[in-house]
Amino acid sequence: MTETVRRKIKDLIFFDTYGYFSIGFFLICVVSGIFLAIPFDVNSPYSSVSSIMLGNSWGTFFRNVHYWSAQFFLIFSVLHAWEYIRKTDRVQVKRGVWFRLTLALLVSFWVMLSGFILKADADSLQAQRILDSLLSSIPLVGKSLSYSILGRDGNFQIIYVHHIATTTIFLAIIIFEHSRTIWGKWKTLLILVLFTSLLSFIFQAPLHNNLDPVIKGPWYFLGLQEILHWLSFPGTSLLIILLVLLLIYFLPQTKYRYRMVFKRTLLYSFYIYLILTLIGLFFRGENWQWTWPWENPYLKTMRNYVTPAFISPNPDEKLSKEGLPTVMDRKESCLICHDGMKGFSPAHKPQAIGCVSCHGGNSFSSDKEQAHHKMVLIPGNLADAKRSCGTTDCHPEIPSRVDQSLMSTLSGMINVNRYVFDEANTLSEVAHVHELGQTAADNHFRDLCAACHLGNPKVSFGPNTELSRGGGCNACHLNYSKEAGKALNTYNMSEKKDTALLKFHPSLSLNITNDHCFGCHSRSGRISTSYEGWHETSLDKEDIINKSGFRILEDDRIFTRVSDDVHHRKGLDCIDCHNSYELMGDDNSYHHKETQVKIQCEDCHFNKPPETKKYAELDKESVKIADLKKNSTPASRFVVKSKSGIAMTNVFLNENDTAFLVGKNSGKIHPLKAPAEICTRGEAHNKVSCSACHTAWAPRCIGCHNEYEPQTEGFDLYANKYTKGSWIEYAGKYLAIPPTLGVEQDILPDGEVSQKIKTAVPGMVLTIDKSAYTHVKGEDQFIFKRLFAPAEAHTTQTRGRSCKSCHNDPVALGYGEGNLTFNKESRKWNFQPKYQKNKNDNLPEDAWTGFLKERIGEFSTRENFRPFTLKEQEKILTVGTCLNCHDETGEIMINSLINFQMTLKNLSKFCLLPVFR
Amino acid sequence: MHLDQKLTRERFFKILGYALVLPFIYGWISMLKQNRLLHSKTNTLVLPPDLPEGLSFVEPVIISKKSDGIKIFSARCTHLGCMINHIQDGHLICPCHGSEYLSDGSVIKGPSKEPLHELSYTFDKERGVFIVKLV
Repeated sequence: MTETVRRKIKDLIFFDTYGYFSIGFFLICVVSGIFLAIPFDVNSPYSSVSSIMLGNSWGTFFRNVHYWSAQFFLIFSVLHAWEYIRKTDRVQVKRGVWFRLTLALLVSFWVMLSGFILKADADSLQAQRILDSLLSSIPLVGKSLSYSILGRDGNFQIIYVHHIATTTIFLAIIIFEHSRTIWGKWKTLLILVLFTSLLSFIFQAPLHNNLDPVIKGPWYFLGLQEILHWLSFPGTSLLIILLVLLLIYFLPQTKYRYRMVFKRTLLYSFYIYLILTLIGLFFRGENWQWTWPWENPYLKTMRNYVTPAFISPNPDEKLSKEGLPTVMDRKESCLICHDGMKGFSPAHKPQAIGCVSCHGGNSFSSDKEQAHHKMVLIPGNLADAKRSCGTTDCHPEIPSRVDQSLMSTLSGMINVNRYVFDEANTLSEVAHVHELGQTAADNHFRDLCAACHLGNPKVSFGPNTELSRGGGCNACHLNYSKEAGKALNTYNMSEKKDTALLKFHPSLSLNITNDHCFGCHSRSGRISTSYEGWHETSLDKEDIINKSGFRILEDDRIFTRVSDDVHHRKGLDCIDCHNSYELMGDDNSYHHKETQVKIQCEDCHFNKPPETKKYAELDKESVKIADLKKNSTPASRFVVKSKSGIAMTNVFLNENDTAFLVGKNSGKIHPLKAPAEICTRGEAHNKVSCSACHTAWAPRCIGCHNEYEPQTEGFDLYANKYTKGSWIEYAGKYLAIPPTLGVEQDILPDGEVSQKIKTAVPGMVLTIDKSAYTHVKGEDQFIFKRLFAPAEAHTTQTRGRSCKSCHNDPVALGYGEGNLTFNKESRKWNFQPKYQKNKNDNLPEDAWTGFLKERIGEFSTRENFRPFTLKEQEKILTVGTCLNCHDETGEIMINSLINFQMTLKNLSKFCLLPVFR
Repeated sequence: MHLDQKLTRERFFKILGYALVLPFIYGWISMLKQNRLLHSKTNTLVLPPDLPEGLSFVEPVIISKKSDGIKIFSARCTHLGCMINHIQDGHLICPCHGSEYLSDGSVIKGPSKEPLHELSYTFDKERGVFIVKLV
């Protein structure tokens, strides 16, 4: 009984031989090919195929039938060949017929491959080049053979002729000679027609959208593509193919013993090839790199195989008059509905790049559901940037750069945070926000800091606001015009969102305003707010109602007015100083921001002619920016940033060597001033950075405490989800005072020590109680750190600090606020701190170093940054002693800048030098 | 065929038939040669004078402009002729099999073994353009 059922099922499935299946599919393929030849245009194959898919539903159906019947023809031909090879002991074919059949196997692959090439998409063109290269490598006749089979590069005429005539006729003859039949069996043919029609109704024959960076050959050659990936001498692959054909040809003629070896060789080779094909199909992604199937963009997006193409509406009258929308030689269905949308920057107009370039989806279908299938609503997030902004024809080199840049990795922030929690041994470990774990430090980071990275996706429509974080390319380049905002509001209020169409699109442009940076940079270092002259307070919203001089941010933090940066006052934007290589990265991994940022004050404020570049010497990216901003002429000389060697596209020297900066957004011309004479007088201040003197104030806070509250609901800013338990930060007092100074010390490649005095703020001065997080009690669960950080406050003032404000200022020296006085009797300096001493290190709450003490141990968030040593403090205070009596603009002090030691030798009887020991 | 075999009329025509293939091969090769010659005149590429610094693509070439000069390479991968159109981490990458090249054309990752083919070019002072000879 069971045997009968099994036989009946087998008969139902295997109702005919592989050979007759093969003949049936061949006939279907030939007939559908004749139909397909009508809309297909060999002079513009890609365009015509996309036209068929988009505007010709019956054409699409016949294309699908042609495609699927061809695939099954190949499969059953191979199975039929193997069936015969298995039976070579019993069935004998004449040697000449067997030779032609063996050749027919090769021709079958060629007819398939030529069909693949004829769609002329990105995959096809590369396949054509590979075949050309392989054939040309055949000695003597290779190039002629390739030219005869493939024709000229970019011309498909010969391939077309071979596809529809040479190979098809050859196969038809061989089939007839071999099987003595043309039609096979009617029943088989009928079933195969129904099967192929059904398959063609459901599954679309693929077409590369020329945007997806993954390049793959046809499925039956993916094994070969994998083999070629490992072969440095690809000609070997031809020898392998020849060997297989010879094996097949000689198989029936060999003795039984050898025949079995040949058969096993063929069988195992087939299995190996099958495995390689599966690897090529599922495990190879962009640039043929190993990719897991669930991460493989080839399988995930862009190509939409599943489509009942038959239900696509036919083009309406409007389209038949105006033609199908064409973008980059590709038919783009999106524009059938979304034409006339306004608001784009010129480079991103849909007429230039279409919609699919950014949004994905299926541009080859005019059915809404199909066209929108797997569409990216908000492109530009870093997770999909490679397949939107970063596609080959657009900005391919940028996503990987951005991914390495500090605004994506947050390497410095993560490293310092882990160091503070004693989870990192050094301050120069590279980290990436995507590798955050679940340790105390990393959870602290997740709870308090991890929102501000470019990889944080933008998930809702609308412009960037003060609350925006991340958003990939959108973080900087997205701009909503009034009309776009209004259109979005109208759309949001629409009751029929399914049919409502947006008429205005936000633009993606180089108009990057300070507001784009504000969301993230108004926190932590607060450079955005400081630059505009706002300082954070600990006030609540209710405290400042109806009081002027305050600003309430969208997150309800209250800021008070202080002096703004002189560059802000002049109308300069962030991007006027920070260029694309600083903001999007330059392909290097940096530990901390000061190494990624290349701009220096001296790049614009110089007293010697700077290095310049002509337009023709600019790099590609700078050329693009300069062209779009239109601030330069072919004769312009662009000033070069000395730290990076990259030219600034908005800073020029004119023919008289006069320097000027053009606002990138405003177009306003700003003449550049050389540093004041006092800045470079003598060598006394050679090591002092411009910002050390010209920073008006820096935001700082004291008395910060962090502890874990297991019962408090938290929000994981990286994963964007609520959590039970959260790290809570209790801030102390906020101050806006001139910064502390410290020394950045590096050893140069030639062994010399370089020192630069820079501004510092309390970076990580805090106590941490880990006990609630670790559930362990003990002193080792309590952490105290007093680490200052180098910081450019972005509060530049035209006039530098007075001499006294450094030499006699306890904050500048690192002692913290208090009363620093010189006792003329004892000739000693004294310091009375304003804040109490912290019990953990016996230093005043706001100090960096002890008064006239050498700071040892951990003191900074950088390995190359430290407070003044005792010797340096003594030197500074010695000058400070002089300033107690001498006017800083007087001759004695001015001359002391040139040779202070000489000044010390010419002391008057009234002069009192300090005693330090 | 053995020498002592009799040359029948059938065998004579068979041999003659095979022999006729030779003039066809000669004709085929000559035709290809002449056809190539006809299309070789357009085998140059004109580039503007202000080529950008660094690496850039102008199909079918790759331009590498550095402080020490300009090099122009064929964009075809020397492994199997795929068109290279992608830069990652400053390296030129072949999309088909993953070969990687430096900006000077040298190979840093296989399967390719040969450096990119450097193309010769001249600067036409009158027109102010680069003329690249495509091979």
